[in-house]
Amino acid sequence: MSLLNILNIAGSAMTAQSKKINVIASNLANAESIVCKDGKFYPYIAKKVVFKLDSLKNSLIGGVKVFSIINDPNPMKLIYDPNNPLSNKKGYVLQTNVNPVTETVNHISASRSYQANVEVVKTAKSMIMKTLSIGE
Amino acid sequence: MFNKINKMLDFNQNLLNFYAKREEILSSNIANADTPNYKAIDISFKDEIKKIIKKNNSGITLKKTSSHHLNPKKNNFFGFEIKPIVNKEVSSNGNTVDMNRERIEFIKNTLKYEENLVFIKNEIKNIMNVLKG
Repeated sequence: MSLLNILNIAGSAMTAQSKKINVIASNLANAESIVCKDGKFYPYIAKKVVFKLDSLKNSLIGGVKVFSIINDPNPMKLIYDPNNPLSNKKGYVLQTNVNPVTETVNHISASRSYQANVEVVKTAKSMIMKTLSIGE
Repeated sequence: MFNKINKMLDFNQNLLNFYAKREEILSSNIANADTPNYKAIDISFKDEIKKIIKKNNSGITLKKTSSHHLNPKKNNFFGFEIKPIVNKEVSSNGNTVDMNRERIEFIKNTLKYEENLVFIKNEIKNIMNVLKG
């Protein structure tokens, strides 16, 4: 029954969007974090979520799934700060590429998408309930 | 007699199926609004209604030479032809979903589905009234 499929499709989109919001929250929280790798210190690199169509069998349509979480390819900022203990020989410090403005805008967009899918679920549910009461 | 009731409800049933399928497709479009390279799709009411009417009129029957022969089964399956929506705007990640259009079409489709349900309900009510006398 295709009306029940709608619940799965919208539900998968809600899961994917909330995962995206999770990643954005992690980016904002870790904007000042330092990662230690192989005895060296690196600034935190922003993460990005990539969505993919999760198609139902034998059809073009389907829900969404999180394909992968990648490192943001935007370049890191280099700031002159010779007093910082992490600065290099010339006095420059590598800073994170988390952009608070971009993250906030993405967050709003993801939460709007989430809301749209909630509306879809509501509508599908009321349609199913009305169909069930057809013989009354 | 039951044949006639069946005929009465058959058309509405097919329409209801169409609207339910379309609802699913539109919800898939809304769900994938942020998916890279997803192409928005839809089914055309005009084409499908033509198919439904054609199917209802084509009464292909087998010649019955004995009263014990069964009636042929009506093939109830009709696949919907899914087409991509052609619009000029393609966003940078190759996605062609226009959320404004999808939302409006979704609401329209819901209302049409419910309208069809009311028709079916009324027909059943009529039949019940006749049966009760």
